[in-house]
Amino acid sequence: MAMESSLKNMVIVLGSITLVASAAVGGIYRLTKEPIEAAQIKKVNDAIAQVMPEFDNTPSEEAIEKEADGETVKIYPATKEGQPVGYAIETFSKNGFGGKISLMVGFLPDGTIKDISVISHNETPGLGDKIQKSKSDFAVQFEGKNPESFKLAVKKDGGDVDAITASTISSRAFADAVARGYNILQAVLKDTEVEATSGATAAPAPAPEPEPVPVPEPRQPEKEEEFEFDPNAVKGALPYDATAGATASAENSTADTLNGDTQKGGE
Amino acid sequence: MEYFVIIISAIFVNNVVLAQFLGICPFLGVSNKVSTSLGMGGAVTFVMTIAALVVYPLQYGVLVPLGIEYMQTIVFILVIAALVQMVEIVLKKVSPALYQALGIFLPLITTNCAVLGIAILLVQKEYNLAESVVFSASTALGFTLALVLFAGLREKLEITDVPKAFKGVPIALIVAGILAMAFMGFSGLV
Amino acid sequence: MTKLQLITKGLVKENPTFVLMLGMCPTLGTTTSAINGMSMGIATMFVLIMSNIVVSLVKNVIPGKVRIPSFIVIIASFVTVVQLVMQAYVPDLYNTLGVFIPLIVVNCIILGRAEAFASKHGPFASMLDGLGIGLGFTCSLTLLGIVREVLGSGSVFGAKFLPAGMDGMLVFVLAPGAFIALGYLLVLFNKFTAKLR
Repeated sequence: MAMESSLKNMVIVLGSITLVASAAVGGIYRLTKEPIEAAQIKKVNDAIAQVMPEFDNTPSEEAIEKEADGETVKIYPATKEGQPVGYAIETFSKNGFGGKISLMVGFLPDGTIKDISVISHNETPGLGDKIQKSKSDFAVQFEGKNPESFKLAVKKDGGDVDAITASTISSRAFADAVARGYNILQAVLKDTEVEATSGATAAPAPAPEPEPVPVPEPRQPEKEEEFEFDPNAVKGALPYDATAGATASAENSTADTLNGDTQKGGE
Repeated sequence: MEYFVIIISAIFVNNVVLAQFLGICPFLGVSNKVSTSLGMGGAVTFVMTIAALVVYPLQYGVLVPLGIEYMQTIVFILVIAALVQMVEIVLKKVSPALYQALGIFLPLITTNCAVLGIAILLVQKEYNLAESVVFSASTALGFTLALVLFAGLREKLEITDVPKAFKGVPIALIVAGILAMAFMGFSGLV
Repeated sequence: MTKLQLITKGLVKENPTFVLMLGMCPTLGTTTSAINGMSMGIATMFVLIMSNIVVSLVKNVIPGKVRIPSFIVIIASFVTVVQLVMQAYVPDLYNTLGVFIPLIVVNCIILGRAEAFASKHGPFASMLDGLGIGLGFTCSLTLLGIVREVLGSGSVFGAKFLPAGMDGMLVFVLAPGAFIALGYLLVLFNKFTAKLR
């Protein structure tokens, strides 16, 4: 029945089985490569759509890549009618309980956190996985907060984040990821600011209308929601709306720059 | 400091058996006596640590440069199977008594999901070589600790009067559950 | 054994979880909810059926001494196929089940069936055997998943039945609950089958 176990036989059989198996798996890999990539892109796009206000560009095609701690962090700028409405940042922390946590954090142009979506994590079901919005309200506390005034660290470490009960590590990693995203965004915006002031070519395309009124409008309902939720958010968002008013202080340099650009474009 | 956190969390907080459910088969199978469970723990520690040393260059020296990361499962399991074979040969020569005691469970290390599981986790967690070795060794120590503790409990269970339907594995599982609960107390450590 | 017996034996008589006590790692690790348990069971069943068929086809050309390594290569290939397909079409589920998907390769059930059944029978009988044992495994995992989800999260297949603001007993979703729930299910199973005999 079975073949004789001579060395030659064994090597030939095992070798050919491995060869056929590898070829088959390689074939399947080819076949599934595109769907896998499509699934990943879809996941990213869904996450961007979730954390950003309404936009009409394709942020995933305009991604800015930035190296941080040996990994690539991607920044997806969202614009509506040529005006920036926010930045979605694919950020991460390696300090999770089960390893890496990847988040998509949406920042409004002034640096206020719009929304956060968990892309992937390996946290304990029932405890650490509460970082997901579907499992608990933990992530909601970040919404409408500006990291300028909202310290991104758990209360145990002297920050402002209420940790998930019995999941301090996951909460800490979550805050760490958001902070990393914020810092990178600030750094990138600073770079673009320099570019914008040094060369006029870097300025965004001018909006056709003289007054940038239509820009804040689509965000109106959201603003109201946020108002009920947290007055700070609106304070943070105000300078952006009241373009010419420019009540923005020095600490709100991001919003300032962007408004400046908007105005320049308008005139 | 970083290594210290890895060690503590691998042994106590994220215990491979009681929190991650890897290596349950030997956990239930070879935990009747403390002495055998120590031997099993030793064999797993040995295999797991060497596996980490082998897996790291394999992943970053072969699979990644060739762009065939998807072959990971096949490659890892074959390497681990070969490793186990080696341990078996060495153990047969060095300690026939232990070899006798572990019986059929040594070849079963191949199908011990803890070994392959840790190899995959090492890659997933993106540890460097030193971290990989520390993590595997302490995970294996955690495995041994859980196994020996459990064996001690089961030796007592043997002579305890339990209802008929609970005899054997059911009561062992419930005891394991309580042990897992006790280990959850460690989660405040890191 | 008739064909029907081949398929149904996995449910009770040779149930891989409750009688043979094989494949305990995924049984405990992935049954945090009914849907997770069921998906894991189905993924395992696919690998089991395919590897059984292939093993029974090639059994005659494999020399005895490299039998196990050959089986492992065959099983690992199908596991990789499952991994790739899941990544492509159900990425969220793939993330949830995590490391347990590649670990199907070391599930004792699969190697056990290849060795004990498929290497001695024809491809059709082996397929039925894989289907039977796979069904038994899927049912056990789904059952354990339902029990843990009902007790732990107060829901069944994601549909919550507890009023808002009320949660289940968290411990059943966590590690200790897995052991305890399986332990008690085994007790019930033993009671039930003892009466049948």
